[in-house]
Amino acid sequence: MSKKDGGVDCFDQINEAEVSDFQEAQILVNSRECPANILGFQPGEAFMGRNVANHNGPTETNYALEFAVNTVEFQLQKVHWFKRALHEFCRGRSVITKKQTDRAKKRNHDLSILRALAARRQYCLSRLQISIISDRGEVQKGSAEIFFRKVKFWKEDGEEEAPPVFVGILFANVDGVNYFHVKVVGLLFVATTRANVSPSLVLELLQRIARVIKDYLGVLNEDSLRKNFVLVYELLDEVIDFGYVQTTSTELLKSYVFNEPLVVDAARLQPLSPAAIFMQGTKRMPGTAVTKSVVANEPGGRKREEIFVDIIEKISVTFSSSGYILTSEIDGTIQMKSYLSGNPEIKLALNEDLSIGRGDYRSSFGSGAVILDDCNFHESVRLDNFDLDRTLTLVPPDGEFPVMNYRMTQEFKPPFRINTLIEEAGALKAEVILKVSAEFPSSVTANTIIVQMPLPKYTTRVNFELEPGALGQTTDFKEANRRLEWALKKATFLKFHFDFITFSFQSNDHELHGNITKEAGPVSMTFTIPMYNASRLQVKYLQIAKKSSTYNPYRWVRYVTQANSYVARI
Amino acid sequence: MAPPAQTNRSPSPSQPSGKSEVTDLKSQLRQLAGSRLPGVDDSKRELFKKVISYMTIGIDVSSVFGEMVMCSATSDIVLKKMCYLYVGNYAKVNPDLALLTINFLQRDCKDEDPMIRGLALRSLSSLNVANLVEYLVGPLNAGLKDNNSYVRIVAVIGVLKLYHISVTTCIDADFPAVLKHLLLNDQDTQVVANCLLALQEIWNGEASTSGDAMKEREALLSKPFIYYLLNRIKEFSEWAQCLVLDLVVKYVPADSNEIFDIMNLLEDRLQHANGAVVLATAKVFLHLTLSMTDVHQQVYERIKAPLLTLVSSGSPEQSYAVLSHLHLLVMRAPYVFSADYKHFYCQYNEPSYVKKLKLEMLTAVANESSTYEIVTELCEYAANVDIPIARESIRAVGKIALQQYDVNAIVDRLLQFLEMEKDYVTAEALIYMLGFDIQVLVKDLLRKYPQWSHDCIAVVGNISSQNVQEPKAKAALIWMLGEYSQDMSDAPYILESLTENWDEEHSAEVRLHLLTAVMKCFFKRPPETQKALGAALAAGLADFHQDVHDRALFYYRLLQHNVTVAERVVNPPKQAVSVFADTQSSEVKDRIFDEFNSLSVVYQKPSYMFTDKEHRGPFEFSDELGSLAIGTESDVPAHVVEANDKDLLLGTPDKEESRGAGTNGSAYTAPLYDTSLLSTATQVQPELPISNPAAAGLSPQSSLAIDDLLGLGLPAAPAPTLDPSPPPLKLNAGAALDPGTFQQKWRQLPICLSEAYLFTASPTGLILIFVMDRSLLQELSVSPQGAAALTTPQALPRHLQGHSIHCIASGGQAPNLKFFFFAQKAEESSIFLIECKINTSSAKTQITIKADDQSMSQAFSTLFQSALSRFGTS
Repeated sequence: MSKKDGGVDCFDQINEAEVSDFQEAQILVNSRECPANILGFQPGEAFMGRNVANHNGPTETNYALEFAVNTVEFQLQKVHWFKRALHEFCRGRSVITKKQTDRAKKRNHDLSILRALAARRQYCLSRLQISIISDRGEVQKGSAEIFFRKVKFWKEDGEEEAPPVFVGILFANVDGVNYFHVKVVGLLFVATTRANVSPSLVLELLQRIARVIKDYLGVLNEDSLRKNFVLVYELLDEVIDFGYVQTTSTELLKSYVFNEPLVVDAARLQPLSPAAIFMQGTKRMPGTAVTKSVVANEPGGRKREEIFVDIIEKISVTFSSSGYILTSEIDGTIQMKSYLSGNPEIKLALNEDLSIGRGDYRSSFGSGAVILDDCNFHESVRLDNFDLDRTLTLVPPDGEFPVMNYRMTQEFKPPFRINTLIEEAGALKAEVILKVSAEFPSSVTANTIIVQMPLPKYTTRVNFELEPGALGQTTDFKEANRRLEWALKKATFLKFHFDFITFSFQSNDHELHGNITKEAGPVSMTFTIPMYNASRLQVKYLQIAKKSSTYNPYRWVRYVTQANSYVARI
Repeated sequence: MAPPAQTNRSPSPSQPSGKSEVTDLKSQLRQLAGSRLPGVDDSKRELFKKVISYMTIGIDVSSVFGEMVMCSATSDIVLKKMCYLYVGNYAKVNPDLALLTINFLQRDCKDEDPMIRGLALRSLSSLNVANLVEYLVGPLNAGLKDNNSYVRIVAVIGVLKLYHISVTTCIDADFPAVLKHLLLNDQDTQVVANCLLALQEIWNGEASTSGDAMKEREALLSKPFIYYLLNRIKEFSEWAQCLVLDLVVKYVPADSNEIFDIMNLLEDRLQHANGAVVLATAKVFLHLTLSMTDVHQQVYERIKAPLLTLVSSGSPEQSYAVLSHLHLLVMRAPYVFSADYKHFYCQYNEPSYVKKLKLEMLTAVANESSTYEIVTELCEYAANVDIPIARESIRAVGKIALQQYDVNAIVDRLLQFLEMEKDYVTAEALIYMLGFDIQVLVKDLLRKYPQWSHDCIAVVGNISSQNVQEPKAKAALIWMLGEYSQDMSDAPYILESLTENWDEEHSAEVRLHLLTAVMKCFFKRPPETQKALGAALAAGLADFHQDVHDRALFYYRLLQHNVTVAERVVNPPKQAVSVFADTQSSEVKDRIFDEFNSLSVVYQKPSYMFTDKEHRGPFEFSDELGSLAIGTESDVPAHVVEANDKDLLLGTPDKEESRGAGTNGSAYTAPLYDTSLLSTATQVQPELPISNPAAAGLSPQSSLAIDDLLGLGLPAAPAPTLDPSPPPLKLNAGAALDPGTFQQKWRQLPICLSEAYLFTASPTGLILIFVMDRSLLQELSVSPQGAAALTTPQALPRHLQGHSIHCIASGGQAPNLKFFFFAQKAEESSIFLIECKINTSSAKTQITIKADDQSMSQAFSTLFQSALSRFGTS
């Protein structure tokens, strides 16, 4: 990284180059004094902490160490050295004592990397820290660290994720700071407050902020944020003033925000789709235009007039062991992203036979009509004619937004059926037959299909037998979590794909007790099917109020169906 | 917002990293500052960006402050914005430097470009330096009158910022009045919204000290104003809508027509895509209809679908927030959701925090028809790879079993789990954990359904205690060994071997259970257990753990004293446990419900348990009083009926009337007026140290006119003519006391008087019977209807206001109401504090009086009684 990139990358420098001099360290007599003040350390030169009256437990050091081990595959003996040094410190002494200085000198490089990484993480975090009330000075500084530690070490065994809202209790009298966080494409957006606010308001706001930033930057990731942090600050300044939300509409913000986004080179990055914003995954939608910034001009000068309407459906199906559908639900969104100039009015017509009923399971099936349980609409949508002809009228604001969210529990035809058969084949061996059949029209293609199945803990060896002639399929047995994975790149109308899996067991203690089914499964499946929607909800037409006869912007109406929780029990 | 200045917080260095780089920047900036060359703005931008990036990562760049200010003399708005960001971050720590910026900020406040005016004004008001506020008043005044809405939006928030820096400056400049004018007249809804929030904060802050502010705060809840906002609600931004809805929740409509009007108007807000709006609307609906039971149920039905949609359409985080609220609703009205249980099935890819909530909901909604399916589903989760969830789901199965539906099937399932454990007991941590849960639950179940014990014993007997490691599971197993030792042939021997390994048992809980189990076993099978008992008692006496030691000693002495007594103590005949204690009292739940759409719901705790006082908002009850109430009594004040000012109430008579009528929801009918009864009552009352049979005898009549009793509570306007003997004690009608002082005094002062009243209702209102002895309370059978009419907590404070007794806080849910009153002696500063608890169903009232001047407390008590006695009569 070159210097002219600014201080942001200074940690990269430290990361890559050796820090010239390591300061002589002294024994700290007064543990209340920040070691940095006494030692005159510069950032990145040593990992330091303070231990006032032995109040700080070893958590802080653990957290640094864990970070070092997990994130930077640190060599173990180095970690060991740190551990000892830090252990000393936790007993109320300084990290670096005179005695250890010589050794430290040899290893100063490692030290600095550790510090650099710790600092860097903190940097990333604090830059994204969106403190709703912190600009009122009510939440003390340093909450970012507390937050991070809390999230990272929510449960000691790490089995559970931290819930999106929690109170930080550091010391008995400094508690009362509420932390909210939202994870969007791997970034944490955090808000803190001391007031008893509405949690859904804050979480919604964080989500919205992420969306606004994405609208501006085109792509949302660490890199684009780092390049545009001044712009992000500017946006945040306008979105929240003195802890109160002012506006989150990209449209309105456009007139207040003047920094131009530095668009991150899209070719270098994995493009993110609108689906990804709620799908925390890497699956992506067809089309590349969605990654372009709403405000940035195209290199060619004039912006292309176009509008994207995506009907994204997440389907959840649970099959019982006998193949009967236990539950099925579709959560759909009509997502819109408009690059139209002049904000023309748009008319969006849905199925005429669409009805919105009070959600009742096992409601009428086969009548052909699309029955939604419930739906909600973006605030720009006018429903004047909705009851008559199922048209939505709206003036789309700039940026990406959901026009309509809907939920459907009406029965529908699941795109895949899964059949699983487990058979014992001898005392220490079992055979699983996985059968996945596609039940959608042959004109559509499903992408990135992954079938997963956890196997019993004592499974030692797995053999796969794929149906002969199957192409583009991979099978894998993940030893670590005893899970078998069967991935298909593409699938078109695949009728009856067989997959024989046999697994054998450790021989000493276990015998089969007909309990394999309790120990294995359920089979879960993820997939994406473009140009297909299970609910049969359709956008019949998309009408743009014409400004002139030559005005004919591009309209993209795209459907995509994704698996949300697609599970077959065995 | 300003970037966090990391220099202050981290123990890491406070020195700039590259001192040379900062110096570099400084000189470069200095060069550019004077330059007028073309393209200079671009290089400035680069430099500014660098400065800000240093600032972001915690390098102290305050040394370039002067240069930054010099460079900001530019027309480039991007540069200006960066400069403002920088200034805002360093002004507070460098007040002297901030003074440098005043000049150019003030100049920018008069710029032609409204954007620059707004930005400059925001930066100016964000400086947050107390001695610079004088420079702020002028620009703010101009900003509030600016013809550009952006500037006005910024200026309104600026006023609020000023208020937080210097209250007096803000009030002296008469900003609240200007804001009020804007609130009612501005065309831009964001200006209106900002005015609303600023005024709410300002008046809440001032209400404790100024009667005017209290009046103003009250006026925000007046009918015309609420209607003004409601009619415009669609013009507001979604965030401002939440603000308005929060205000509407506090509004008390006059009658049911008004309630329906408001609900019809807000109906479509439930279809909003923003979860915050939907939840705020749901809160309005729920709180408006609290007194209308039927409609309230319909509201549950109505808000169910939109909330479920939010759960499935939003991010997992949003789902979590909404599910927490659904959880609360499910707990309150499980039957509303009983058909929708499938919505609460877990999806395999959901985060565990969502799954946990769903499991809790499944246990809550399970009823006779759905239990089987739900348990089947839960059993699927038990085999889940996610261990915490597997444990939770087994726990959920157990909880459902305790709800008494289809117990046979469920216990069968639980036993299946146990058998599952039997197969794989060896060294599988997962199974231990499962085993732990199962055993704990089976224990609970056995306590409830003893008839199941035999089946269980067969299974439990097969579990080797060697393989159970988790202390709780072990304790449960030992408990069962003791309890059912007569059925388990080798129970004494297992216990004996456990006793032998006493020292290896690290958990005190297990040792305690072991002691008890050995005792129990001894009484059932003495010859076999004698040895084990001796060993256990000896080991227990030598135990270093205090509880274990004490219990061993206790058993030892008990046995010495009398063996039959010991048996009665240790092995009493067991009754099946029908209900396990609920972890949360209903009052706490009600309080959480009052705080719907706030963090209280997510944490499942009322706000006083996790926030400090100043952040709780104006209408909340103070925490000290809250916890005080928790400590002494179970009823908790739920929300504060604002400390009213008498003048205000009299000033808005129409509103009062409507509220009064709204309390019983029925049409207005004139109360039966019986002077003779009343006079008996009032004459009898002051000198009645014990119950008066005549007064108690009135109760049958009271049932004649239940609806017309307290609910009508026409307030204010005291009726002096009816009062035969006005008490000598005079109270100050305009007394004021802020909650903080109240709390302090309440804690300091001793209790002067604590009395219990029983009141019966008469057609004319309330007749008090003064009972000193609490035991008498139980003996008197009094018709409770009188108090039942006191359905809204507002009526009583308003009545007492007429007697110069002011309410500072009230709360609770019917039937338990609680009020805190205060009164001040006329022409003296002596204050009386009263805590008044009313149980409307049993018609009991308990008051506690504390006073500065203790000698007057008896007189005051008489006065308070007489005031109370006229409640509903005047």
